[in-house]
Amino acid sequence: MNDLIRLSDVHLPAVPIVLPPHEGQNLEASALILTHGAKSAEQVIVDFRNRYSPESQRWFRRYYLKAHRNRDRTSLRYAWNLDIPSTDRTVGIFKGDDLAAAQILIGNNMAGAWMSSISWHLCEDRDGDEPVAIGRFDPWSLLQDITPADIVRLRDARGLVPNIEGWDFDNFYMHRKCPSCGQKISINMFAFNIDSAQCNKCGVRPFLSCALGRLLHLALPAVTGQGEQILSADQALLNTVEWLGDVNAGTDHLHQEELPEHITPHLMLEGLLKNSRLLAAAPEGRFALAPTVMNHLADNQDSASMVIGAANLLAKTIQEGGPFTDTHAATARLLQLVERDALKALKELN
Amino acid sequence: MTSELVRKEPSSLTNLNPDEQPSIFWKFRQIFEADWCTERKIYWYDVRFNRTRLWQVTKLDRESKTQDKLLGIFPGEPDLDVLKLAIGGANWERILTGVRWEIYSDFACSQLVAMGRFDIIDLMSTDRAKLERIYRSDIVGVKTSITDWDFDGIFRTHICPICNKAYSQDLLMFIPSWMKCNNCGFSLSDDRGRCSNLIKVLLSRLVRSNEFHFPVKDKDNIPVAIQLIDVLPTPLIAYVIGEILDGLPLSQSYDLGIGMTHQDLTTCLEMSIFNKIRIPIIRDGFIDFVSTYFDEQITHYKNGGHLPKIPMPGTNDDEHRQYLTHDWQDMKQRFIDETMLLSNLADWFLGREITSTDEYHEASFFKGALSNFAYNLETMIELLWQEKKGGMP
Repeated sequence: MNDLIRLSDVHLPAVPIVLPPHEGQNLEASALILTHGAKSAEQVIVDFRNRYSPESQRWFRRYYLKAHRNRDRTSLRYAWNLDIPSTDRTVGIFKGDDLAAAQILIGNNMAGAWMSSISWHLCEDRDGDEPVAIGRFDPWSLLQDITPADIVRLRDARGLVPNIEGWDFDNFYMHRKCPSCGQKISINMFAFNIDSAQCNKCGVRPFLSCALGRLLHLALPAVTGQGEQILSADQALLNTVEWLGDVNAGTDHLHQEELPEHITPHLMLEGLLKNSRLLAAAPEGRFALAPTVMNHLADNQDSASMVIGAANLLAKTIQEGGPFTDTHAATARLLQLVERDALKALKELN
Repeated sequence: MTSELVRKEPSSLTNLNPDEQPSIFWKFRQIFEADWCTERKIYWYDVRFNRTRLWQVTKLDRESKTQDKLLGIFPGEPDLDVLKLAIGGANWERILTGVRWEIYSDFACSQLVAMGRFDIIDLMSTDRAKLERIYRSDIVGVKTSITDWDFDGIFRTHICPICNKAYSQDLLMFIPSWMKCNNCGFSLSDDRGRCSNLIKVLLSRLVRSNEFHFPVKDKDNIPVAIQLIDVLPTPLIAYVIGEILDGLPLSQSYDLGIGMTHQDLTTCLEMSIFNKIRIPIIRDGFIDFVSTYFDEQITHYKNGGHLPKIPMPGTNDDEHRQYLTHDWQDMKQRFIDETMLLSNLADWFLGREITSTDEYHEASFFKGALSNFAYNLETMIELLWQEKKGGMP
């Protein structure tokens, strides 16, 4: 059989303008973690474009050129309903037979929309008898056969520039303002774990911070003693550690946006540790496991000492505020499982 | 991994005798080659402004090309490899067994340039360097995953989702309860979520695959029996009916509202063999065709043909021979009974016939009939393959 193509060094076609980085903007490059199976942001985009190429799309938008009588002008029109010509809309008017202007106008016409499954057809006539160009909605396809000279000419003569901000037709990028320094952050969420996005100016992780803040907010009464407790302290603590550990983050990467002013994320985690039912403070600054769990593990001294050792290591890192690693995430997962097992066994016993 | 399912040689695990026998998947591919396909999809191209434009015919009695579907515009003179990749891309996620593609060089579709069946061998260029060049040049989208080229639904149904190895290489028909991975032990029927999800996906693909097909012009040299072979609609609808007979309400096991409608099921049933064998003449033809295989075996043992290598304990050769002859006769009779029973299935399921419901109420019998049916389909493929091989120069 034919071998399927697996090339590592495939690049996107060249375009005559400078595009924002494929990874995203204002990110700390060393902190980024690729999603499963992705090799690089560019490779992910190349694969996506091949998978959803124009010939495999079910839907299309037909644009056509209409020359003006007695004038050297052309309208670019969009055939909104193929059966009713009177409903066609004019997208733009330009001098002569300028395909570069037409393609940029098509892109700007749909800027900001999500167009993954729809292709564009540019035709000489309304019936689509003579198609001139076809492509998918993305900068690489819309700027095909356009030279840098065309871009400069159109900008200077008509003020027509590609609205690149709005040309993310496949929704590759997730945007957020850094809650700490206000810098605009975007990340290619098809290629990277969005929790690994870190502001290159102040080090805060905007997406992780927001999500964890909301989680911790549910467990706030365990620390402040006010309000109704929705999430138990243990659950909130272990989930947070797991989450932070998976992307190698510490509490200093979190912003206080969802928490009250006097409670920093670090204080919050320490408070949860103090109120934990699973990890009880023992002499000499060590931690002991809850009696239910200890009873459950009583038969197997080896695993009991292993779990206590791991729990103490975790508690120490929590007190230090991180950074957490994969090992801490795994420990948090283990403790959750052990607690669940112990409670289940207790329930069966009763 | 996945190449196991498209290569010619069988695996050493499943083939006990050493003489070379192509795998069932290869035979299946051979009998559904372009010259034996009964349906076709028509594509044509024209060249203007030094660009090749590829169109698909959406109805036969068209007057202008505005009625056709534009698939792509490619720079330069027509390049068949690019056009084939575009056709492959345009039909991904469709099940097209028994359908062939034809490329013409004119609007009237009189100059045939190329044709082939929908699969990776016929649609992808064998020139690896050229393929790589096309992929890098961004002229046409190249699908790079093996499941994108799954026009028979075989890769999706016969590859373990956990370890990506083929379940087995001698089981062509998709029957969920038989799909068990030798490598990692994963069993599809145990994972209900994954199983019903797969069935939903396959059903929606089947229904989607029906657009823009046309019958081929000259069917004279195509055996009629080929139209009775299918490896996907029949087992799919059989599985769903089996579930219903087991007492599971359809809405509960399949989320009827999401992704799978009553219309999907009806379409699938109409594509399956149950809809064909409800016509008496086709049913009888089917019985006659498969019976030749049983008759061959019976005469083989009756007339003193050699016995299987593995002896039967506690019997001499004569008794063994007699036993096998009876066994094959029983199997033939059972096949005829089961086919007669299944010939009413479509009418019963669609509510056209209310009187004959009782016989389906025993799910185990129905399921047994269906699994025997799967074997008989493989028998048919074997017979057709021999016919095709005999016809080859």
